[in-house]
Amino acid sequence: MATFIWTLQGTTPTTIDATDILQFAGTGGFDTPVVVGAFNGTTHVKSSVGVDDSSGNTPRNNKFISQAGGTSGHSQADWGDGTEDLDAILSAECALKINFSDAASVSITNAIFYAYDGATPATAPTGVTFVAAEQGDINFTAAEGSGSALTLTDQSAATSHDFFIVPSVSPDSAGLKDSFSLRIELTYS
Amino acid sequence: MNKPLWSASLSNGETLYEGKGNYRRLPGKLSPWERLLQHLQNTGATITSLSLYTDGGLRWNLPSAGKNPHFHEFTNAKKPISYKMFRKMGNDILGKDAGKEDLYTVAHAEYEGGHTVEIWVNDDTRASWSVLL
Repeated sequence: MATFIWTLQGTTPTTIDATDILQFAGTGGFDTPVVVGAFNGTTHVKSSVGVDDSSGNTPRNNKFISQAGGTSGHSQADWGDGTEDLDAILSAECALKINFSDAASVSITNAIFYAYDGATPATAPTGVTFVAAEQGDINFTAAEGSGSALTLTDQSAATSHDFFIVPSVSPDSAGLKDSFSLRIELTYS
Repeated sequence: MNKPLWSASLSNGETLYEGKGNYRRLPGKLSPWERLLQHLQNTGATITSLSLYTDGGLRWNLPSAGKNPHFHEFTNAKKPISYKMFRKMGNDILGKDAGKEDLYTVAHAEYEGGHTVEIWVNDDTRASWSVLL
């Protein structure tokens, strides 16, 4: 049976279960707000009862800095070492790891990743600006809605496939942003 | 509930079924579809028809490239030039569908000019859709 496992990476990975929330928070840490127009300063996994599941795991945070301000027009991000070109990020430094596994050895094509409003995959999330990149990309993608999704690299036949994602988000206005889901789609055979 | 599986008829007269014989799903081994592709490469055979089926007796057929259809309308219908099968899976976090895994088994036929016909069957509900692309 094919299965997805989403993980917030860190010193110790934190599995994001179905009832958990991947929380993009401010620089103050868990449950602190991100300033309007700024990007996430920390990232956490919040349980359905409000507990910080990633506390103690030193979770990774990937913060968008610029779309084309780096070397040769590369995007820039801060993943804890200051501003760097996006393509310098290592897989272990990406905040999000999505594992797809199947008992049989399958190849993966046409994988995409995007944010949407939680109701209609083609519709952008409400009240936030979301960008994402796959490890190795030179620029961020404004991955808002399935029509603007981040394209992930095809993978040859194996029983386990990892996708390392750099996600970053900024609120467009004050308030809780919960019309906001993240989705992966892929083809396997 | 029985999952949708593929059935392929080949130009060399063979009809092969996912889940049967050499095309059972084996942990750690190439998927049945990947093994079928290897078999095609080794034998030079091509797929002349592709269907999805369940052990419970359901069946979804793509238009065939065979030469002996039962009805005249099928004789005149354009025939696919190639076939493939894949599974499409989606998964969300955050929001109302968090944790939900959508899985479809898809049979795909390609025609000259790049047009395609696909049959999508939901693995859980058996609901199906035909898509022209």
